[in-house]
Amino acid sequence: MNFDLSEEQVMLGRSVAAYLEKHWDQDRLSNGGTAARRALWQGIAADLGLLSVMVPEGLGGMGGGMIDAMVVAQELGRHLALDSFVPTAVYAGTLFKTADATQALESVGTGKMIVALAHTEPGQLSGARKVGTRVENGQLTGTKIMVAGAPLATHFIVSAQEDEQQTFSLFLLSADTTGITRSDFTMIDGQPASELRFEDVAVGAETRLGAIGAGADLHLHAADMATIAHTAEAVGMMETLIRTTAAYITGRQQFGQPLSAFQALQHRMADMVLYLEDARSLLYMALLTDPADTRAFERAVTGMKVKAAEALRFVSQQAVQLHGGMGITSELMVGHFFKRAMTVNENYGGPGFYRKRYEASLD
Amino acid sequence: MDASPDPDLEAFRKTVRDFLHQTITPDIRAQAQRQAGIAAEPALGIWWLKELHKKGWAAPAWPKEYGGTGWDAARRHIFEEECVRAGAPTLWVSGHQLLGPVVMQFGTQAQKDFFLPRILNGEHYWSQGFSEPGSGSDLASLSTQAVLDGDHYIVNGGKIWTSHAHWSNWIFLLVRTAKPANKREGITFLVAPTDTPGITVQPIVSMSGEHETNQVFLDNVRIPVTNRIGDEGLGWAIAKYLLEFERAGSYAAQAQASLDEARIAAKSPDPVTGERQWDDPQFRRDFADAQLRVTAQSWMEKRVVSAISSGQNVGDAIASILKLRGSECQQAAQEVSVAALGPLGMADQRAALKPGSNEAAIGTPSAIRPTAKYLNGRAASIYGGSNEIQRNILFRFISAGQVP
Repeated sequence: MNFDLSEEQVMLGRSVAAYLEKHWDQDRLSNGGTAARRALWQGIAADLGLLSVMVPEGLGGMGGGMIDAMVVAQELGRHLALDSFVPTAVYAGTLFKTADATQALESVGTGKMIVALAHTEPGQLSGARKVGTRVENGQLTGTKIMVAGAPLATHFIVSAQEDEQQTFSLFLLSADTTGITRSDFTMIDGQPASELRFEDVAVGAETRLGAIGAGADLHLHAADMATIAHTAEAVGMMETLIRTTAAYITGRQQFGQPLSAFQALQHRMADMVLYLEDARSLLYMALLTDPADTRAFERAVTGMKVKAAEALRFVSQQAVQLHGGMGITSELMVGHFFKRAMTVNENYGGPGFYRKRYEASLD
Repeated sequence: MDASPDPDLEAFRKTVRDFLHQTITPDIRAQAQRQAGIAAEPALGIWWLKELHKKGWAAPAWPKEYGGTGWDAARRHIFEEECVRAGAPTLWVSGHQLLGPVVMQFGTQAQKDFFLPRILNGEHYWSQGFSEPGSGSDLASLSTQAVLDGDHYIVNGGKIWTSHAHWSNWIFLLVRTAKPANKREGITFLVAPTDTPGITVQPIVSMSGEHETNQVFLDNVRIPVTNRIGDEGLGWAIAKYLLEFERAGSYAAQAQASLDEARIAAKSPDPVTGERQWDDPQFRRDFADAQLRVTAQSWMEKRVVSAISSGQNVGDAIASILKLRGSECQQAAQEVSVAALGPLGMADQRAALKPGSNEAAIGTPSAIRPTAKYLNGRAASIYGGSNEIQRNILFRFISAGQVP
């Protein structure tokens, strides 16, 4: 067993960092909306070819795996950038690989396809294997809420119930398909998002991903892979939060001394590092567990998520706390990290759903 | 980064397992089970050390030239893991893990020749005289005084928390030979046989009911200058070097053993209703939390072992992180193993806990140890530099920009 990154992986991380330092900042993040995100996406696809990180070489991709995806996601987390990367490159990428959707995978690699997952419905509980959206006579009808990244997306992955199937199917639809209406809003972390209405949208068999009724299992597997990438993003976010907070309490003077002279604050920061290292260790565990061993993999991913969510919550809350009044302003990045921490934790069912699965996996 | 097992290491693991399978008989395991303290009592511990010595495995961390195994970090970790899994007695490590490396690094040739073989074969049984009644976390404030008188130091003062001193025949001591402004200077490292006139050992019984640790009184104790390790005034540097060895180690395997016991206890059904504590949501949640702490620690240990094996300098902050999370995960696991016993966990099992005791357990045999281990385990976040001190140390690395 070995935890070292290859030279190529180290270079990959450096090139992402260098690119983001030049092309992404707080102003673009909070005021740039969809346009700034699209520009970064196109730039990164053209200049770095980053979206092909997990696309096989035979399809023109880099042919990397989850470890490469981790390297990228961690840098994105450090810079709070490219929120559609994980849903597209990792979630959709995994789905397309599993379902043999070669063409779609190719389009992800070139950066032409940006994917948003349209799965959540009003009142839906985490882990639901049935949805209200239905396909009847080849026409899909229903409402999806909280579709993160939808205004930016070229394609939607939509869950819908077919015939008398016990679980939903998944469909890949172009965003401009007739019968889809978007109403846009912004999520707390600044991501563009939409509520989507589907009215008698024609879905041919060629739009279905995998077999009829197989969507719930396909989704869960892709979501677990995406959760690993989001944990890498969380690790990157925590690193930045800790460094920023350490610099802040070292620089700020109160009672005639730097805040960092107070032991209560020193110990809080030590705890932040301990949480970060817990999350990093468990991230490595999930990355090095073979997905083919489904029991072990589920335990590894769900355990990682429970602990990483706890870590990200603690570190982001304490980073705000230690910045004092400045921490709660929108002026500093720490507040943006705080909100992104909330959305990262909530992804794909949130910590509670993973905790339930983890506790069951201990049997 | 890859998960592929190293065939050499797997072969090594098998060799260790085979040896342990032969040596740690059910009877030995049962005896070892009756120990809740940090190490087996000498009757069992020295037997085990001698078995290891015959095999050439008495000092896993020592280089071959001193009679050690020459194993790398990965092999040492496997060895420790397998010993815990096999239920082998836990060895008392003051000689092997603490004094040995100090003698190798700072000792004279004569000291190496005299002490190292006697640590290896178990002839010398060591205890550590560091803390004093007035100097705990603030170790550098220690006041036990050593005054030079010809070719001897005359030592006056006392030490506390001197574990296994009542079984030791040698003790190593930090003493003050000068009082400069910087209290970390003027400290010197001496060693002495415990039967030297003027050394008195007085028991301290811990809340787990065991006599494991002691207070040691030093009254005009004459220690020859030849029993000084390193130069006068070098004691603090030596102590820091030694404490790195005390803080490292594998915590996860031991904590996992506590959780495995807890799982078995919690899965046994109520003989009347058939219900199991394992299915209680609050218990399962506490178990899951403890398991996640242990799993995180286990992977942290793997990260460190892998980094050391590939020649990286892992840095001193890692020792503090390992000690903090290691002691915390052990305590969490021990707490769950007490909860798994239910009301039976409140029985005082002291009589059955003595090594070699034939006293029956109160309740079931699996109830003998968890509570005493939990009580004893509260010390883990206090000794070796308390967890508060470790957090101070860790912050020094954070503020210097070296962590994360």
